[in-house]
Amino acid sequence: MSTNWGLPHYEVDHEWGYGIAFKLVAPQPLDPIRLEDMARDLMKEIADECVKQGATMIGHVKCILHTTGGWVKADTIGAKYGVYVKSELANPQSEGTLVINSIIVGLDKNKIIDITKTLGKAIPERYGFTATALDKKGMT
Amino acid sequence: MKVVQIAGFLGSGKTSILLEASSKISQIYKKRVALVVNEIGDVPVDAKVIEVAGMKVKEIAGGCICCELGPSLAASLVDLADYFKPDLVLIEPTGVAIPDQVKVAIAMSTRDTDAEIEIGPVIVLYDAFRVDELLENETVNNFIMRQVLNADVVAISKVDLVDEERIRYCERMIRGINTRALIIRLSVVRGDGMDELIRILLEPGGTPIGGRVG
Repeated sequence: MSTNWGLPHYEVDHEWGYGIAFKLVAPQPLDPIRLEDMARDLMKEIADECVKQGATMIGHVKCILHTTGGWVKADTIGAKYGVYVKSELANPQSEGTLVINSIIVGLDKNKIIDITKTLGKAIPERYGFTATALDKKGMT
Repeated sequence: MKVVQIAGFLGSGKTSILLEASSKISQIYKKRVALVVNEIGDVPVDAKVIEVAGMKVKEIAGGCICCELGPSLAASLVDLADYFKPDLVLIEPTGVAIPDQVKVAIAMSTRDTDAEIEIGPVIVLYDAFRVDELLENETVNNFIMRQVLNADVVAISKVDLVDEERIRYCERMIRGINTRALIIRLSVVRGDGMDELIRILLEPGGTPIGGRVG
């Protein structure tokens, strides 16, 4: 099926979206509020960077940090609309799996991959985590 | 088993509404609910979000269920019908899926199960919060128009974030594309329209298309 701009519909799926997972480990446990801040910064900075590099629109950028003690999720449809963060975490956490999905309109797929990979590692590291990219088999 | 898709463009609130509606239906109405989530990107987030909320979820990744992964959707529905036996299956297609094509994929599932599968109405979310940005983008506008055109129910989402004038503007835009769809107003945050949505989801009727013959 073709749309009026020439990109077959099924290719949109592969052209707009990129997902990656990271294993996060920190020497000291982080408070739930710090983990929420990290997820918020991550969403905002991915969205901002995609726009800076030429995206015509943020489709949806979302993430979930899953730990043995609960989870934090965050998403944005563009920095000007804010970042929505929600969590269920009782205690500080030092390990978890972070899954990020960036769906961006009007930006080269390689740029979406590069931005998501780079910031997906850099933002957690700013908060004291070591971030290691996982393949699909390594996901929890 | 009734199957209903809740479609809508990226970021329109599909996962939040699906979670809210499904948890109410299972807790208050004591119905067995399963969710099928199809997401753009190889590593899905939405299925994980639903999973941590404690709902039964099947994830279909790596493509779109309205085209190349239609058979995967059909297989998932057969699996649910035969082993989990839910009263209701809610499908969350990708934000760019074409509802009519998802319907075809649902219909395919009836070939391989004895269970009676009923296709419910097509519900499409229409994001009131960023409607201008969405409609200004030609690529995106094209997807939204097709989704609204295929809808039996258009749910204007995030009505808590906009004023009455904006909601009426959305209603006019929707009516300009689809003259027959029921239009409702939704807010997961305030709960607006959730009872009406749940009534629509549970309402008997729809198109019975199963079970397998022969």
